[in-house]
Amino acid sequence: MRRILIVDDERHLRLLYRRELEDDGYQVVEAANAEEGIRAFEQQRPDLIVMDIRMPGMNGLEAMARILDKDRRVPIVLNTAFDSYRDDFTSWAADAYVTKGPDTEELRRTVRKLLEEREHLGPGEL
Amino acid sequence: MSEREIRTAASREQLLDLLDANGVQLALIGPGRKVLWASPSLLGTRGPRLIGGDCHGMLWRREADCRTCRREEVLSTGVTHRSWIPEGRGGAPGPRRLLVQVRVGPEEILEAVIDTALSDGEQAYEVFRERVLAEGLRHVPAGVLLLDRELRIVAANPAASALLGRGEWELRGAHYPAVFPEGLYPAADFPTPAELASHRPIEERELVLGSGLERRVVRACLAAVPGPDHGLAAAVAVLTDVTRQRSLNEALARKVGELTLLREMSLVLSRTARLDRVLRVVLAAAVHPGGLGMHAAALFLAEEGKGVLRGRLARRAPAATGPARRGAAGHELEALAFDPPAPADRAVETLARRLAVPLGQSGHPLVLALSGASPVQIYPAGALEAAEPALGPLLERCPVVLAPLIDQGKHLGVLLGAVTPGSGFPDEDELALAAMIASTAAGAVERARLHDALSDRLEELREASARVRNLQVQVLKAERLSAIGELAAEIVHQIRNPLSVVGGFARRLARHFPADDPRSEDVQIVLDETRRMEAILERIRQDVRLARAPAGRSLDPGDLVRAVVARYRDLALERRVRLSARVEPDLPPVVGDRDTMLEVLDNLLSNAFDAVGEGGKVTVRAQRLKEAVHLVVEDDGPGIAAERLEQIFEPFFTTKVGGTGLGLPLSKRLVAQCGGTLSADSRPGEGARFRILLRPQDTAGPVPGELPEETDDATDPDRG
Repeated sequence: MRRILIVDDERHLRLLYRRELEDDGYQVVEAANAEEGIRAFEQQRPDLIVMDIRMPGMNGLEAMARILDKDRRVPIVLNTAFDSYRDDFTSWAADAYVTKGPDTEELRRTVRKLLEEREHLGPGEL
Repeated sequence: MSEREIRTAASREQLLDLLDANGVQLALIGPGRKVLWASPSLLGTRGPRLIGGDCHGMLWRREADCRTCRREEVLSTGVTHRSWIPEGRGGAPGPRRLLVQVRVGPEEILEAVIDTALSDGEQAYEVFRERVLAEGLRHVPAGVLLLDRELRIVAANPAASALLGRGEWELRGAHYPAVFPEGLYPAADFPTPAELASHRPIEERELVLGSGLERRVVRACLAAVPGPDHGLAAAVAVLTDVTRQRSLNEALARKVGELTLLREMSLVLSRTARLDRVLRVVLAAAVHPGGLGMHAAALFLAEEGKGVLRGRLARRAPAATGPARRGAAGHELEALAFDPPAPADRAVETLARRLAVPLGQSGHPLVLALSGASPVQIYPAGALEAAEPALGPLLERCPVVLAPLIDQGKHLGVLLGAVTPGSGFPDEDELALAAMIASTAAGAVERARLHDALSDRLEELREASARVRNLQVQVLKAERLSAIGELAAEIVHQIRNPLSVVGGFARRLARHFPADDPRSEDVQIVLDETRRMEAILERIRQDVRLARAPAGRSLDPGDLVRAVVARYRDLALERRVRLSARVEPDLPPVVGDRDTMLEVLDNLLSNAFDAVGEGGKVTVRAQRLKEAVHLVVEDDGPGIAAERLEQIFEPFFTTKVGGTGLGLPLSKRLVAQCGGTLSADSRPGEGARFRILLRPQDTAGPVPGELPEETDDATDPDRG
């Protein structure tokens, strides 16, 4: 079963994403801030990370950079209320950029697509 | 003169003998009531200290009452007399005495006390008249005629003879009025002897004798000498040559007139600092009959920058209104200066304005005059026309006077005066007056120029300070907007997350209920409302994003209009809105950012579409007005009430359902960032018009902040 790490300071949003992604058949791990997210990544080794950007303390872009330092292959989806970070070149390192909204369809589609792409590549190719 | 002559008279000894013998006492009183001379009988009774002393109380103290001294009267009328009966020995009345006072010099009076009852009355008096007074008055500068009771001349002194141009003996026996040239002293005017006896002083008039250089103004004063019977015993006529005094008076009056004129002119000039008015006052003083009385006058001012002496103003003399007199009241000058010019004046004014003499032409009479080599220059008739034929209609072959306008060493211009024909060449006084008027004019012209320069600077300062104030307001508004933008962004962000949670869970619920479950509808409502809130947040997000757009590049206004209109074509078809674009050809590129301006125009068009509704009309225009390029979006919707026109650019003010109240304020700010302005006007009921002014790329500085007067209404088929 694919394991997905959700990093977001909004408890109910994490819960919503967990429910939706679990419905889609993934195992979900949660982290409430960037530091916790980095620790969770190291311990749980998720197949994909959904990362909020604006969080108290370290922001999502910095956390993404740290995680990519350790593992350049893990797909990361930036998930934020604003699309203004699209222009921030740091965000270009992400595999996808999804704007938050009540409709979780885009997020779920993106997650599915990224994980399928990874499937095709096979281990050791990156 | 009189004093010295009397003292040195050859006949003095003889005179004094006669005086003594006739009981006549004479004294000469000079300025300050000082006794200059007295006959021996007086000196004998009063002592030598009489000479040099005050006549009051010393001379006639026993006989005449000095408290009723008529010195001033004598000095003004020439002669006076009075008689009285002194108290004699033992209280009985003494013989009647007569005091005759005759002005013999400007401040000198010859006084005679005559004892009329010295011997046997009238006979002695006759002797006195014939021999004593005639002899005594021989050396008096005034003409003196002694007349009998029939007013026939019994004696005349040489001065009288000279004034009347007839010998002393020829005058004797002549009737007094008849000695004057025929018609000068009509007999009908002349009083009867009885009237003469009862009036004092009598009969005084000024008569002009002779003509040309021989012309004399003579003051004739006839004084009666009452006899013992109170009738007319005799009369004395004193003829004074006042020619010089009169001409002095005339000269004085003229000077006073000139001073009055200059003073009034200065007063009128002090009330205005406008150059054109100053020039008009100066010309009025030049042509006013009480001023220089010129036939025509013109003013030329030096324009250093252009190196020319240019005609500024000219005028002719007003139609004659009365005899010329020096001096003019200020209101007369003002009326003459500021009344609407006559057509003839307009013509000469135009004539003068066309004239510009290069300052390099040092030999030109006007340039020569400007150099100030002499305070006034005179050119004989025709001389100036020869140098400047264009001035012919103004000068009309009159002699010309040119006076430079020089103030504190600055050569400002030239005053030209054409001398009135028939008035003769101007005399020295008139030339001096011309120079003074020119000098007064120079001061006023310089003051007016400084004033103009100062007001220009002041106006610039005012404009600059208004611009600064305007900018301050804009900065404040922008800061406020910026703060509002940030706050809005924050609110959007903060609300979006919980909204996503609500919406997300509602969606999950909806998925889990079967379609026929009644709870499905409830959840659907939650979902719809969530979507609506999401839409509001999205609009705010868009508006806020507007505020972050860059500015300052170059763009083609026509392309901009066509691009934005293209975006709305489909919507126009759908809503049956008549959408048109009108782009003036050859518009210059403007300063601005294409995406930003598209957003702004998009916003304005969106508003216009909302305003007109189905079947309305929206027009987008690009045109050049004055310095700026105007992008105009106008609609024929309900329009905006005047009191709301200002508010629509305030954040959170909206009249639209679903409006955020941020679109227009942010649009305004974006346009301002591009160096332009956004404004709105409206005729309620007819529509609204939004106008973006952008600066063409080839001009410096911001576009004019104020909206220019609408000039295209009349030609615009869509309005009006």
